[in-house]
Amino acid sequence: MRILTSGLIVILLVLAVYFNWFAEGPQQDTQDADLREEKPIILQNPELFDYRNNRLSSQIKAKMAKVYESTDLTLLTQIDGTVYSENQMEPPTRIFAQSGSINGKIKLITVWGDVRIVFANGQRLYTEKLNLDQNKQLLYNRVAVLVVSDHDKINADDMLYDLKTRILTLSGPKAWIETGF
Amino acid sequence: MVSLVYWFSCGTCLQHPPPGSVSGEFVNGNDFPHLICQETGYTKKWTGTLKMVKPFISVDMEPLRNAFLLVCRLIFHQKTTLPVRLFATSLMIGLLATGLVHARDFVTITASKTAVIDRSKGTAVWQKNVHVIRRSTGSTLMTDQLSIERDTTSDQLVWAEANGSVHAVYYQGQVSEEKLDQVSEEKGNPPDRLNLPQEPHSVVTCDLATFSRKTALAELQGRVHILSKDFELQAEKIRYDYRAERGKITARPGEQVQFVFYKKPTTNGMQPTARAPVRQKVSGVATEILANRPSRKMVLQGKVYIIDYSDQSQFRADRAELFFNEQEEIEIIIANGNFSMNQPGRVSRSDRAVFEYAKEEVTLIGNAYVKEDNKVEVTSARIKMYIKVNQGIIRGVDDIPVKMEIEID
Repeated sequence: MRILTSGLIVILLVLAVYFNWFAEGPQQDTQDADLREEKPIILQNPELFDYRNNRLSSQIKAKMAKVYESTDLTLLTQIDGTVYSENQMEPPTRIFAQSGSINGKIKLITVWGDVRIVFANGQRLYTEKLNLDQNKQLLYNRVAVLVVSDHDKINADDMLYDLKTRILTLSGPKAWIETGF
Repeated sequence: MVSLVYWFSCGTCLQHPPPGSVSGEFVNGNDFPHLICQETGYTKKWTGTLKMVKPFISVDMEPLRNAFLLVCRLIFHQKTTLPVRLFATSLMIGLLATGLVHARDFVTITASKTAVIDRSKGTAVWQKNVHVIRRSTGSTLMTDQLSIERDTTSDQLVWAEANGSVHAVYYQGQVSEEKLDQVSEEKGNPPDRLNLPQEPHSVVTCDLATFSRKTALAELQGRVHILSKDFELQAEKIRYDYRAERGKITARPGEQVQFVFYKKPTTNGMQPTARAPVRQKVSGVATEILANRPSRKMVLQGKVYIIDYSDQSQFRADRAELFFNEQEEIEIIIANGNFSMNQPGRVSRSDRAVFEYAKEEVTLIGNAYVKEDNKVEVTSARIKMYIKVNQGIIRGVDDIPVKMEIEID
């Protein structure tokens, strides 16, 4: 009997810990449910602009946008985005993707599906998913990337691109460089 | 069914062997072809706007040839419709372009940690287990960290640094005809050129290697070891101006540079055989070595000690100049300052000594002294003798008097 009681206490404790520590799942479900319940504002061929210090920092064109006001979330399809450099003389970075989302609360843009980036210097980057942290001015992901330029090609496990310093960091890189040595 | 190798990137994996490539296959049917990644099964209908990735990767020429033949048939077959013919023509252009790219040379670089790339400055830093391979020759470089700077307009390498556990294996290109003949002679049948194992021209290890196009300098530092088919060097630092083709090899303070060179084999008056005789090894130490490639000269300075393995002779001098022939073999050595030589059966001393390996003679100049085992002692301002002791001819030069003392028991 004592064993049964102890076992019951242990199970209760485990359940309590689970619901307290792993509460993100149910919350996420609630949020998703909210999204499903909320009727979004649908925009056809929208152009979204983001300003920083009274200057256009990014511009996103899409085929369609679904705006969920309660969560400040926008879902986009067929994205053609432009991220402008702080140095106005430099050409912008272009981003293309099949789908994407803009989380207005944390200023995070996530794009996925045939993501293609054309950097200011003509370098192209291909991947399946990419995040743009507008606060930190960082482009990053955790999936395979392919970076192609005129004389080289680099595969990597993931990437981090600092839009301010224009430094690209690739993990597990494998490069093919046409020899100019 | 035909494989279009390394033409498109797979939108899912982007990284299948070789990385960044995918085998595209025609799927039978009337429709335009689908591309299928053999690893992920990623399928995409070709709409003509697929991500075209320049086919940088080594191409297996056999499927490429088959694809070329099939496309030719598609173009010229009577029943081929116009759209298919147009499609096949564009495919042909692509295949030709692939072939052209294949002919170009590439370097592959891999690293197990990160590559930090700043395209605006043209710099890249590769970290941890960096492995570089030059495709045309198979030459490799392995190091802990590789930093490179390329010209932002021309992409030409302007500066490079390999830092930590540098190991480079350099192959000098195609297999030589001489090597082919040698293998053919050994095996008794013509060798397969492609399958012939190639020996590296040189293997280099050091702690730090830098290259600068601006200053035309290549530097190797820290426990430098170069093993080449023509020489071997162990030093602390090698600094080489590749434009002037001059270099300086130095040791750590208190230590000496170790070297191995080769000299032309002596014939001993015998007729040369069909097979080239083995070159003779000359090794030694010196405080530093100056190399001058245009004049085929090496200058060894500071406590020079040389061993000639052909006759086990050893000599010491303050300085020695080595002159090489076109086969990188020592032709002449001029030893200066406190020259002394020990050979089995003979000792000699002088201010200066000139070794002429073609004639197999050595000339001792200034306070020359020779003593042979048979207790013959010779002194003169100048003595010329055969390098080989057993040939035993010693004579003065240019009518300079020779004093000979023979000890009689």
